[in-house]
Amino acid sequence: MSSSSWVAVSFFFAFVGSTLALTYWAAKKTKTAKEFYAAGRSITGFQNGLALAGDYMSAASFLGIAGLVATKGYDGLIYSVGFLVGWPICMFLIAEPLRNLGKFTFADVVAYRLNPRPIRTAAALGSILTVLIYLTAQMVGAGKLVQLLFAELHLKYIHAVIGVGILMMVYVLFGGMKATTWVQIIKAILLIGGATVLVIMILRKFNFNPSALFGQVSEEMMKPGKKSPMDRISLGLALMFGTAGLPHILMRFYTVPDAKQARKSVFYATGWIGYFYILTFTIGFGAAVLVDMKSINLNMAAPELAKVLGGDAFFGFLSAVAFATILAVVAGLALAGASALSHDLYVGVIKKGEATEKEQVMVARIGTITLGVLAVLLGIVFENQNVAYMVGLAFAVAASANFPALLLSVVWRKYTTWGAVSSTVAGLVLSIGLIILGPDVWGQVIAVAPKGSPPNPPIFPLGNPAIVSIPAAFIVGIIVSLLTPDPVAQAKFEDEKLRTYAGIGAD
Amino acid sequence: MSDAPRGNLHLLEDPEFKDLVSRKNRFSINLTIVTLIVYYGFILLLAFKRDLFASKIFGNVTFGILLGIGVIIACWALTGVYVRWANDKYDAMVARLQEKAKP
Repeated sequence: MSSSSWVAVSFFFAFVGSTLALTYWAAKKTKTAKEFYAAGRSITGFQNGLALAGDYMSAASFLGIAGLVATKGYDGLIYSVGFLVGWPICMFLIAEPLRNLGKFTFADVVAYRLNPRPIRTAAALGSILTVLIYLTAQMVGAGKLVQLLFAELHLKYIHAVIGVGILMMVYVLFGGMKATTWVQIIKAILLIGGATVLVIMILRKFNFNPSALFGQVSEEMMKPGKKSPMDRISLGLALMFGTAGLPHILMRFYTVPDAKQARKSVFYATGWIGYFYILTFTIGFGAAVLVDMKSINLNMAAPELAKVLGGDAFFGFLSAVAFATILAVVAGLALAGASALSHDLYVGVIKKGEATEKEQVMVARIGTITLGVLAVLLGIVFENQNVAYMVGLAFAVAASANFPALLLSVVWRKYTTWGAVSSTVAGLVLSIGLIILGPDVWGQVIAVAPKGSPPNPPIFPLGNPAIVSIPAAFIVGIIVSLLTPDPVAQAKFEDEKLRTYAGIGAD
Repeated sequence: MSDAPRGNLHLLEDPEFKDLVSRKNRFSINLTIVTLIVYYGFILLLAFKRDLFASKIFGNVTFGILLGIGVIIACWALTGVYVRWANDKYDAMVARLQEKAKP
């Protein structure tokens, strides 16, 4: 093995070893449902800010955006901006009411004054689909990445996927939210630290003068590509409102003691993530100038740049950090999916909210195993899919199915059970349906034209359906609510207000 | 689920509570609108002023780079503005109401 592999493998084992030790410690404190799902509400705003950043900064955004900037220039940078703008929205509209009204999942908020069983069924469906799509994208990314990073170890794709699946299950099963949170925090520090060092090394090459770096980037790369404004706006909507609908992000708000800490955590998270994205596109431009991008895989821009600037040891370190990043993100996703399965579907729908503490924790663990096995299987089945559109799809589903239902339930008195259910279902069906009919899938993955004949044109013109599916979900929710008035829910909205705005009676 | 809200329904008619609700809504909505303007302003520039992005402002640092960093910092600053307001004003109003509430 070369020195880079040694460094990568030893850093990787150091990370896995320390996170497993952490899981062992957390396991002793994970006995109740509140401890399993919400880390006993013991996480501070600052810690949760880092953990949110850890959940959000996936390997796809680190390696993917750096690679995109390195090859396409400014178009990659647009993604880094888009991924950040959801955070202020999350803060202004969702964070505090979510924390004040809910217990473990965002479905708690929607179900608060409405008929819990249909609501939880629909919300769990939205959550689980979002999580599974995102998880599949991460698993496929993980498998591919391990092959690239550890090329000389001859790891097979399937082994990488199974390995990631097992580690993720161990963290969540034994350590619950506490272990998952600390895995995110460690990973966030490693990733931000590693990216910072890389940027310092790039700037050192240019005598710490950014102008000298940008001077070597071609003018064409500094311009945005010629994409239609509709495409950009639609993707922008998905990114902006999707963040406030991602179950693994929303769930984090229950780990802090109150609304004040929830809001503080968004502030820290936005700062860390914004800083990270500025680093990421700088790395991309650095790679465009210093690395021969034609000879390498797009996703390897950042690690290859590390090799050029810091030798094999730094390449190994950065590879291990990228792998730790994937592991942490999938653990967060698995926990969110397991909560939807166990807290929303099993306890909320099947047991009608009547389950003992012991039963709740046990079901949560069964949910985790189910999710883990599903993720590994999906990772294997979708091995050859394009990861980028799956991430876009996850954001579109979150923005169309989860976000409208959540927002309307918090702000609108006349919202009803059937309004919420139909809005979620409409958002789900439209976002998934239009992606299938759109240019990334129709004619590419399905309905592919036979060789030699012209390609089948997509039925829906945009790559991202958000511009249609988000407004549709709101309109359906509003119309159905007006058709099915619910005086009881309207009366409860008044009680709810004390809790939403002043935290009176919050859990 | 706690029954505390039900014991405190009289607070709904409290002018202080009504004031809190309207101020919080107004502040959140205004900041949301500012965020939308900042981001969609960026998107519209991308679509219609492509060439502007490569124009050099400081040395070789282009307008596009500065704008991108600017939007990122603006998003963070907006969350900062909200936290500042909430810590100074909102929390004080909430504390006064919680004092009036029965546990």
